[in-house]
Amino acid sequence: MNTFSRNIRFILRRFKLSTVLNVVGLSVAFAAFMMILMQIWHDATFNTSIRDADNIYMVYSVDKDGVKFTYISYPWAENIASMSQPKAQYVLYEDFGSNSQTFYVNGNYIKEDKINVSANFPEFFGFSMIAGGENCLEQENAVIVPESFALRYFGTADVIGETVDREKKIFISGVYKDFPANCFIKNILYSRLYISNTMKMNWESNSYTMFLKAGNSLAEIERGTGMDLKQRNEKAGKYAFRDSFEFARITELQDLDGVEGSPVAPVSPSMQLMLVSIAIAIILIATINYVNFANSLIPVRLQSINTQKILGATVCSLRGTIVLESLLICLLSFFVALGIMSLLSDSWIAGLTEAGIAPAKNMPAVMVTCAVVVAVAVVAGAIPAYRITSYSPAVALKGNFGLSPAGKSMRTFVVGVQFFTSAALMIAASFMLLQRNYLTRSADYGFAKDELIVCDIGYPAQMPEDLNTVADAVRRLPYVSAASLSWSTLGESDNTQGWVFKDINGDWVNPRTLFGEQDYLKTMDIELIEGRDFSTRDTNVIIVNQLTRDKFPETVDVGKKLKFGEWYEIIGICENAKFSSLRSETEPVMIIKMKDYYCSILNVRVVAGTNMFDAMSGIRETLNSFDPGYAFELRFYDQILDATYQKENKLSSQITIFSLLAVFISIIGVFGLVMFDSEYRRREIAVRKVFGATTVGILRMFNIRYLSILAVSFVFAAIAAWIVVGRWLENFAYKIFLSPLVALAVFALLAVITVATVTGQCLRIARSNPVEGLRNE
Amino acid sequence: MQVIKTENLVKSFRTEEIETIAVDNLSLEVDKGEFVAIMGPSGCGKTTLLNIFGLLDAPTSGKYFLNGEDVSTLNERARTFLRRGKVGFIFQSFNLIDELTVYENIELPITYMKIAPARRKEMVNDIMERMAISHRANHFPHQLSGGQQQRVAIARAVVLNPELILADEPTGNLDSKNGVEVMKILTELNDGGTTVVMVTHNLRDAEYARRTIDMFDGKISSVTVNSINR
Repeated sequence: MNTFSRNIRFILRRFKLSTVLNVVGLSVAFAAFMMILMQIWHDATFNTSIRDADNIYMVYSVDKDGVKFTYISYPWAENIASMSQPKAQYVLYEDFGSNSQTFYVNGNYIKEDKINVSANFPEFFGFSMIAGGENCLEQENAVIVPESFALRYFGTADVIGETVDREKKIFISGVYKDFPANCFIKNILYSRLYISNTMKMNWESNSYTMFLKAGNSLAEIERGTGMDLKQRNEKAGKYAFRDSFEFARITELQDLDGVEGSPVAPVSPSMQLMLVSIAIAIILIATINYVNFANSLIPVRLQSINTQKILGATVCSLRGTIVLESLLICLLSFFVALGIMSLLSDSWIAGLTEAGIAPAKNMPAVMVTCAVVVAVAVVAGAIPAYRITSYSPAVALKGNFGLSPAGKSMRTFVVGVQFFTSAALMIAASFMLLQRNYLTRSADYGFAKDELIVCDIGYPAQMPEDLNTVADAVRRLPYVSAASLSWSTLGESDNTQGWVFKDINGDWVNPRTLFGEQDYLKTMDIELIEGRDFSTRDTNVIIVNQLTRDKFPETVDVGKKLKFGEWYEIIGICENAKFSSLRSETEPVMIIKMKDYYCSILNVRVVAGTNMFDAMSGIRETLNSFDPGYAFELRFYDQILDATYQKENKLSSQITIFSLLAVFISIIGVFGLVMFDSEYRRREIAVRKVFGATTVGILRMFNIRYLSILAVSFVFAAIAAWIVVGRWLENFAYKIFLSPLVALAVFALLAVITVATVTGQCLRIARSNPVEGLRNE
Repeated sequence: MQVIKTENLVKSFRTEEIETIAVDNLSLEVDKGEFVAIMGPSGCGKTTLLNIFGLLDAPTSGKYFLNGEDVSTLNERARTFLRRGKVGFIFQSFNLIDELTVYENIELPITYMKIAPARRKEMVNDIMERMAISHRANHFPHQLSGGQQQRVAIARAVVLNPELILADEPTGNLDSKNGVEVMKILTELNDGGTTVVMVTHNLRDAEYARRTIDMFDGKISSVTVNSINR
């Protein structure tokens, strides 16, 4: 133990800066690794907290064009559940994409999400009820709320009977324990889904998402449903549009790609792979740094270690001591990392992962990291321990082993690995940030989004029955150039509706459907190709986009009519604006203006050059004149798109932060290596100066060496980043061009960092009097 | 003509507590083409003086003229440019660069001059031939004997045909046979017109010089003109 503490003291005294840098590097690496593990664990255990999760399946359909969607009608749901004996348990819910609603609690308006679900929803998913029973949704006008909601707004979980609307009709019938974050069941309000008799008979009204408790009956249900669908499709002939039903276990919902209406955003396998790779790379870089640090101590420790050997210490004990030192430094770094994570667990950094970063709440990730720390310590300790004790004492006592050719090659390789990792991550992060910016800012959505303000004026705001009265009032504002009502917000989500119209021959015309009111195209600034925009007097009219006309050239054109119960006239053809998110291709779309359709989104175009915040407060004032005190939700398009691409934004933030950490750790490594290199080449530097090298020349020599390594590593890094980012971009129908200029910019940045590090570290030695270097010798 | 001239040269080293005077008010002249040996006990200031002569170190006070030019107050950069190609150094421990081959070590001083690669190659090959080490061109220093290493060091020192060679105990790490060989090379160079200033402990080596300067406590204690022992 004496030897151990003596050695530790020696290292700390003689290599203070290097030791501190290594502890910092290792701590940052362990913290980053733990954060990534937390995210991976979060994804891997998704939905596993739901009772009986392995037996619950989400039902989705695939149409003739291969499009996958969850929407299903009530008769189909009943039919599928009845395919097993006894009938399988199932639930439905009604999801409109944006489920945010305004409630009135304790005299305040609040915005919360609420969805309508089957009455047996709590029992089906195993809600843990704190108050009220699992059948509490059976009552009319009842909602159940999460415990967090009750505590937030009432300060207690004892809220049964409290109302949440202004009319005091909707009351709380149950309080459930919040689900963890890695669960598709959101901690929101749930109310009962009422299905009308008409809907119970309508096989084509695909308004619900279905979850089925299939268990062992899945094969039976799949077989029965497949056969039934086949028969129905044969009967429907050309009108059959569903090709198959699929069943996805809810623990695997994240793996589903491109299913419209899925409650879970897909986690791309390539991105998971990338996160795992980053985690490994970060640990690898930190380990390499540490091994290198330990190796760089060999020449200076050689004499003392071998003196101990001569004086009777066994090789085994010496090796054990060195490994123990390594373990101590790694554990110290691990505890620093835990401290950092705990301190930051309430900061914005915690928002980087969906799991948060509090160690106490992510023990599996902490335990795995701890095991990795021990492994790193053993590897980083064993290599130098073996090397330092493998020389014969006689040789070791007089030798200088700092710069053997093999050692030099190893260091070159090590720096190369660090540059490769840093460059690859930085290139990938840059492209992801550019894609994020493209999605939310620079992409051409086909409508001018910069001067738009979107207001939700729907229930429970107390507005005139005809919401056009409100739109008219807003139109009269001097800085408003146009305003129009719509059912949904363009570009916000992929959840548009799909109504099936029929042409004059009875053939289907079924593009995605949106609903708008007068001046819709003018307000959204969508280019009209032919025909005209909606006017006040129009009822039952349609504007289609160019893709719809291209898809149905015979039946869709200005002046033609389509039937959905009643006849609708096509009055205009517009450009193919992005009606859904940029994740999917622009589809054929029809915008319908029909009588009494509840369009409660008020889109307002503000005159260019107006201060948007002033305009927003003016519009809010106008809206408040209809319902004073009501908390209207007004949003700019930037906010809407940021929310739409939250998942992508989070991922690109993660990659960016972890890339910067990797660069930081790498630079610490390069710094350490340059320090080692320059210290051990003092004599060489002195000799070179004696024979005519200048300070600048010496700095140039070091910089060229490291820049050459950077250049070679960079080529490989750019190729690797290109492949990974290319795969990620496959998730988007609309994407950025992978410009080589980005890679060049990253190279320039890394080169500047490298030159600064190398120059900063070498300057002192390069400027020193050569006599000093020779005297040391 | 004097290659080296010092007037009241002082070099002192100061630490927190004490000041050590390595060269104390020393005045000296070395003529062009002369071979001077500097002797004296350890710590008397021989190497410090040699470093000042070679523009590796600046005097604390006094004047130092190299080829008639006052160089005592030049900055490091100016000293480097002045040294290039004009002064060759030979060290007791050879100071070859471990990672460079024999060829590259010898080429090193030329790389800091603007000399075409072809000419560079010719110069290195010529000097390797003169020093009889051509067959070792691609070897690394640790693959050579001490004598061979010192021959490489001498080749490196003279490859640019400098006017002045400063040798700090050039035979100190060599056996007597190799030592004699090195001294012969230095003598030949001196015979060719190169000024040689050599620090040594070895009386026999000093006898190769025309003049021996004895130092004690940073001062010249005596000057002896030698009968040439070649």
